[in-house]
Amino acid sequence: MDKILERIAVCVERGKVNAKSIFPPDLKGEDGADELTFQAISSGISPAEVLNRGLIEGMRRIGEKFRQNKAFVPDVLIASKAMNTAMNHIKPFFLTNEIQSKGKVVIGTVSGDLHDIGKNILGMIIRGGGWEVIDLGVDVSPEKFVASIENDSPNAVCLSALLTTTMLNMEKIISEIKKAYPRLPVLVGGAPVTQEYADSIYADFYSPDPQCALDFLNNSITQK
Amino acid sequence: MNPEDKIFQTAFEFPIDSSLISLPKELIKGWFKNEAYNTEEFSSIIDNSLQKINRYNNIKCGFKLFPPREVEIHNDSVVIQGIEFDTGNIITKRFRKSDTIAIFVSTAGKEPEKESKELMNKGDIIEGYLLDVIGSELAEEAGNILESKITELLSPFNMHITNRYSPGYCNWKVSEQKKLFSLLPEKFCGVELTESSLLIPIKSISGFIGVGKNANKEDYQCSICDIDYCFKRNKNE
Repeated sequence: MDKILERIAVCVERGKVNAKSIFPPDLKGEDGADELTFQAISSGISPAEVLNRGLIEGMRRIGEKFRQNKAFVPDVLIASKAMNTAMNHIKPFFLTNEIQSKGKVVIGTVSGDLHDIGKNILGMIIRGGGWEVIDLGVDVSPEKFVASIENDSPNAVCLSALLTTTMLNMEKIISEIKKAYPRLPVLVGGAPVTQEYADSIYADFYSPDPQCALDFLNNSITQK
Repeated sequence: MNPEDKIFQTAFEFPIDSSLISLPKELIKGWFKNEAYNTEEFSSIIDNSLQKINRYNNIKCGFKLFPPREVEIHNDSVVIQGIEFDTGNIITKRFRKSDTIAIFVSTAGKEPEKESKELMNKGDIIEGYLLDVIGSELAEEAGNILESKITELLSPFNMHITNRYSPGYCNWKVSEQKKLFSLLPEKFCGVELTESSLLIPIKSISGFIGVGKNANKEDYQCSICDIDYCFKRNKNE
């Protein structure tokens, strides 16, 4: 059992989606995360084991490498594709409650900002860590964040910004969220954001990289 | 009107024939640092993506050069037609031998961004990211072409140029894009500015180029600036 779970973790970490994938070249022709996940579940390994010790472990490794500048944007993108493809075999077990997500997180790029790659990577890492992600997209207004919180009852909200000008909109969004939901954790991140700025706008957590956000969620958030 | 006056009173806009653009493959490969991408197959994926440039017909660049009497270059700011830009001392120092400033814009157009998103949504992650990278490099290449065009136009007057510098770099605030665009014709080169100072199309750049008889280009010196998320720093290191 350990062997196949480790192979799944390696496939996710290295972005080996399925047998047809040409990346990475040294695994060419071999089964990928897609086939191995199917085989693991078919052989009787619990979907929760496959998810936690295979897929989530693979995403944890690539997230850690990304934090250490040992992996880069395309590496995370392709790892996430491997994870998402394999998740098609796992999803049915969420519906039967055999496995449950760790909780819900609302993410979005703040109003005025149309950049989505950083926010998407954050979503991939968090989703890859076993959380349900509600992605509001880009240019998200304070009202849209608050409406989503009302509808989706998330455990946390993550705000992303790429520009010094749009970063300033985080303050209003946090203020609006906190008016209605004072105890809901709000995380902030993005290239120009600093701990000092996060403190000044009363964000609950400053995340310099996606893995930090995931660590915060895993360590600090109690499921509803 | 004599030719020198004309140069100072015109906003020059140049459509760029995409078939004349050749982005070096190594430039694109540089964004994919993992050695897993060091394969012939990936190389041919890059070739295919680069060929798409031929279909892009909204690549443009342009500039407006201001008469020296309308420009003041101070220690850490530049004033053009009475509008003060807080360019900071790192950038302003580069203009110290310039007599005037050209405001420039260059864009890859909307196509690379649109096609990149379509590919990503389809699940073609790497191809989508490749086009995003190509879009960024195209906007920069359009900026390089612009520099050549300015140099060509100014050479009869024995005027030279500095490097180009944009809001967002070396402590020049992005919000100053608003002042910068206020000095250009509306939708110059097809580029617009959002309320939050974001350029649309996203794959566009704008900024200042110093111009003068003694102006000169210098290597980018990332060591004198401390912004660690800078695009140029990440490329140069």
